[in-house]
Amino acid sequence: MKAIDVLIIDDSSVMRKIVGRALRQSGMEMGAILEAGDGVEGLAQVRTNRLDLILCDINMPVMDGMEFLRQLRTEEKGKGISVVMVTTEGSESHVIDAISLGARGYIRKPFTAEQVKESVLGVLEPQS
Amino acid sequence: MSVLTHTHPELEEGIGSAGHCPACHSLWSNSALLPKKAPRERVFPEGGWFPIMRASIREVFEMMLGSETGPGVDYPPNHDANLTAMIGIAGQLMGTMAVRCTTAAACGMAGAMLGIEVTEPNEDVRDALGEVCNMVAGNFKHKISGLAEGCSLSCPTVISGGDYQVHPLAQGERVVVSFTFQGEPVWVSLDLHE
Repeated sequence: MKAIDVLIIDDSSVMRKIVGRALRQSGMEMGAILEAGDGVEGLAQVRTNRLDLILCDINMPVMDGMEFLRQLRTEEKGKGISVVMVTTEGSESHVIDAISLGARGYIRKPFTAEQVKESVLGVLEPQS
Repeated sequence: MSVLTHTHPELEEGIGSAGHCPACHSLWSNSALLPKKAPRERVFPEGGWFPIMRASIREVFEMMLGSETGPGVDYPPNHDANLTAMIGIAGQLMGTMAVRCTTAAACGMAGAMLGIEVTEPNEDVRDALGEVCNMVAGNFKHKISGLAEGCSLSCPTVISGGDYQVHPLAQGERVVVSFTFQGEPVWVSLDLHE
């Protein structure tokens, strides 16, 4: 498997660093780990980078994770990127909504590094 | 007084739809036709709030901070407890949850989350405390049947300073769980509105 280029979208910089660290500790070969503070910044990163994976929060100011998923579908460079939601909002309806909008996985906070690894491998392996 | 000489469109586009009336161009919506909201059912878990709060706190600290929580203290927050993160809860359960602690405890939380030593109450410390409050509240509602769907959380707010008191304006219940983190006291309070 080639090195994975990842974008982490979360309004908390501490949470972005925790998710990034969990990815680095996962044993997967990581390429670039980019960060964005909301959906608008996330879309800008999608337009200017080649990404394999996006880990995205739901509750964020400016543009939340659900709207980001909606807009990602209309982005040419968004096609083929696996998206995993990372959020405290892990209710069944949120999961269904996120999956219907194209998300491929779901991680509920609090999480362990092992859970991040399992979710990420789960969405990347079928494509590799 | 205006006299209505035509019928506004109703229900053609389903309950909750809205638009302009083609006859008079006024804005209309059929939200008034929505069924009346049922009164909020009182939620009270078997065994009370305390054990659920404790379990929620413990999981967040163990999973995200890699640290166990120590025994609670038998005194309320004093002026030294000068950082508070607060989050609003709305829906089937209404109220606020707050995490209040000393600067040293908050710096310790940020340090544990980031894997570095943090000694000054900077932006990362406030961010980390807000996230701890957010995760404890989110974990708490997931542990109560039906609340994950029926209840929403606001974005957390962080307050600096310890010389204040909280006066909920609605009647309700207050539950406080205290514990120690790296030897420093931490209080998590749940203020519920009836």
